Amino acid sequence: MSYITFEKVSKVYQNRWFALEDVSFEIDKGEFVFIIGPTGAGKTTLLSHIYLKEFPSSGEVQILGYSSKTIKRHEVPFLRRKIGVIFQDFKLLHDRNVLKNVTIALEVTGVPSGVARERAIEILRELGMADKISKMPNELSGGEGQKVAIARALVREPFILLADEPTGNIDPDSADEILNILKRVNDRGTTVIVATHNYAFLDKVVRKRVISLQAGKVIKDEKFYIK
Amino acid sequence: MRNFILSETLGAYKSAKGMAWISIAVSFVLILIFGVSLYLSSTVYNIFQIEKKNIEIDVYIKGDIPEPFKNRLYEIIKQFAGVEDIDFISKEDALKVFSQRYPQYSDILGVFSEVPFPESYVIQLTPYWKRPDLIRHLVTEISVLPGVDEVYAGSDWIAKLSRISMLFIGISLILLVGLFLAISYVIYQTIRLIINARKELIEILDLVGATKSTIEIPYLINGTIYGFLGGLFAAIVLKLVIMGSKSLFFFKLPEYGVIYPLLVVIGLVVGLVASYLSFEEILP
Repeated sequence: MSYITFEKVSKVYQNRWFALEDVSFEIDKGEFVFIIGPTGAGKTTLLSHIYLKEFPSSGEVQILGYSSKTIKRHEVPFLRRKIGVIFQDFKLLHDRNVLKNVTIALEVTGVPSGVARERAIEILRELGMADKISKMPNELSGGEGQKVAIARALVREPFILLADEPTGNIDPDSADEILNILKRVNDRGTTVIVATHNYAFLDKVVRKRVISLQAGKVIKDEKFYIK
Repeated sequence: MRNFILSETLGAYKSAKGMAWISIAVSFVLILIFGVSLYLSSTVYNIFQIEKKNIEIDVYIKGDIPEPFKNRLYEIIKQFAGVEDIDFISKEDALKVFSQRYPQYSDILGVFSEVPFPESYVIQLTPYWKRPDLIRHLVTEISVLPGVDEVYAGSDWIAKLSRISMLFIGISLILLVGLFLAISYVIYQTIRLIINARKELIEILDLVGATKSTIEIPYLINGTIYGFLGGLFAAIVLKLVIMGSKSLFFFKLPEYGVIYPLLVVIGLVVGLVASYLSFEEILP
């Protein structure tokens, strides 16, 4: 059974701007998918439909058994607990240190503080950030900031990891490191979906699928992308 | 979760500390004004109730009517609706009461050859009939009976007291509505400010799967605490003023224990409602 199904999904703003138009595809467990396209192609909108920040104007999105048509508002947080999301601007909380930025994802779901702390330290260690747990976000480099964001997304062991231009704000070396982390996460069975406009990235992942977007439409869906 | 709620509640307070204290101060002043109005209403209402309890109708009998006629009058009055009991006050009883109440004038009475007071019936009313309008009606009915010289009930004074009492209660209710709106507005704006200052956090909490109530609770707690503290400070100040009334005003003010917790509860409820409305409007 597919993890994610888009069925004739359109998203229209102000009754005339199509951010997505008649988009259909399925993504299975364990896939590594690039959503690629120029700025304004609808990549972020598409990702927003997966964690149901946005709902389709028409069509249906099914994610991990939830449907955009039938899901209740109070069920959305429970879907989001199964999905990790990272962004170009990291979205870290600047009033708390690295560890607290990660534990917050567990604490809000009722995980006891001690357990949350242990799990957060473990994941930060895995990402090579063990020595930075008490640093504040403004003391981190771009790459480190994104690693903290990844740690926050992974600490709940999500089924799906969404990355919206994850390397847009970091130097090339750190970008490679982030991509390697995403590959490792995918190797463990997590479905990873990366939205990017950087075609150079595609060569760095061997087994991947590439969905190309342009003006809100899927113009190509290559399951075994070869350059 | 408890730790999270606590730390976020504290964080929310810290993000708009100044505005939070302005909310508390405004709540305090407004609830205190309401408390004073409520106190005055209670006092007037209590006086009204005491006076109402003591209310009785004095029916003065003409001096020249024969004894059987007096008994007949007694029987007729007893039949009236609202009459609970009747006491006959002879001239001698009236003299005794006068001497007890005004001992300084007892010598004057010596100049009279006979007791100058008329005989009378004192009517006790059933509780329902202790209403100014009903008393007036009864007085009119009794005063036209043969053998009745004059009827006195003091119902005008009771009616005035009743009107004053209602006026105070009305003012208190208007104040309550005004206070509710004013405090709600200030707390609403404070919570709005806090939410705007923490929009990034709320966005992230939403992203990582926090339920609406988990996100909302710290702000509700903040608003509730602001209202609660405003009410608590108002209750303390009012209590201190009443306790110190003897030295402040040279007489002891009566105390109504129920007012203090009521002020605290009002503050708390207004704070809770205002912060809830604020959150619902900004982040529905």
